[in-house]
Amino acid sequence: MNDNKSKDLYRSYQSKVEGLGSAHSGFHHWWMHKITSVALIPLSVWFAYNLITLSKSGYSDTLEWISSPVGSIGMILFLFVFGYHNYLVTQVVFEDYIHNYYFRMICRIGLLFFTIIAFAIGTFLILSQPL
Amino acid sequence: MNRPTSPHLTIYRPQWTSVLSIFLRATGLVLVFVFFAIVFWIWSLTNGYEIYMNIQEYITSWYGQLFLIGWTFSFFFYLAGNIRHLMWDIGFWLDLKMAYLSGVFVFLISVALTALTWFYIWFGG
Repeated sequence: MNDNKSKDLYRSYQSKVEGLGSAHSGFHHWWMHKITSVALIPLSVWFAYNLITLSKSGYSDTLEWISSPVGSIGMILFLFVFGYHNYLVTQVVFEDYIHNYYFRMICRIGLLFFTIIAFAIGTFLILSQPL
Repeated sequence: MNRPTSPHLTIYRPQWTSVLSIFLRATGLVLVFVFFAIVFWIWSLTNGYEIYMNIQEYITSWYGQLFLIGWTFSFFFYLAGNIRHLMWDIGFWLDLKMAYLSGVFVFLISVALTALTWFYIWFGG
């Protein structure tokens, strides 16, 4: 029984037993969506600001920024939260428009893998830069 | 099973609420693509000057800039639209008048910020 996870705190007993809805649980997904949205407000503004001001500089300045501690950590955090947020949003889109159960599952898992791989590649490339 | 169904999208009058909602979903999907594009950009940046400049040629072309303008608008619209959603979650702006007003504001601020950004990129500094 999954009674003791925090994401089940706001679910009814019936929903836990029957796995109601196509996603089989609703609150956790919605809550993570809101949390990532709030986290993305500063992160994405920070990223956009840096990108726009760096468009005036050259290659070495941009590389220096992404190698710096603030640039690296900020970018990795941004990629993580942005990727997680995107996964949550696209999950809902798939659930709305793909009606075949197996094709929907394949699309969702495919997106999950692609997101994780992209995050891993981005993080590795950022961390492999000398300070 | 292609039975005839009643018209829906073809007869429903577009409103600020419904149109902005579908635009939010559309810009959200664009931004999913942008996420992977950012990782690609990181790859080009960390793989040496030549590769970066090669990609830059595509970015600075007219069609590249067109894509970027679209992505910029998607970014600002998604940001503003989601903040509007968060305000709804807290309980603000749920009445019809404020829903419409905030919707108009979301659209206007997205256009304005996109224009400001690109004005700065092309002519500022």
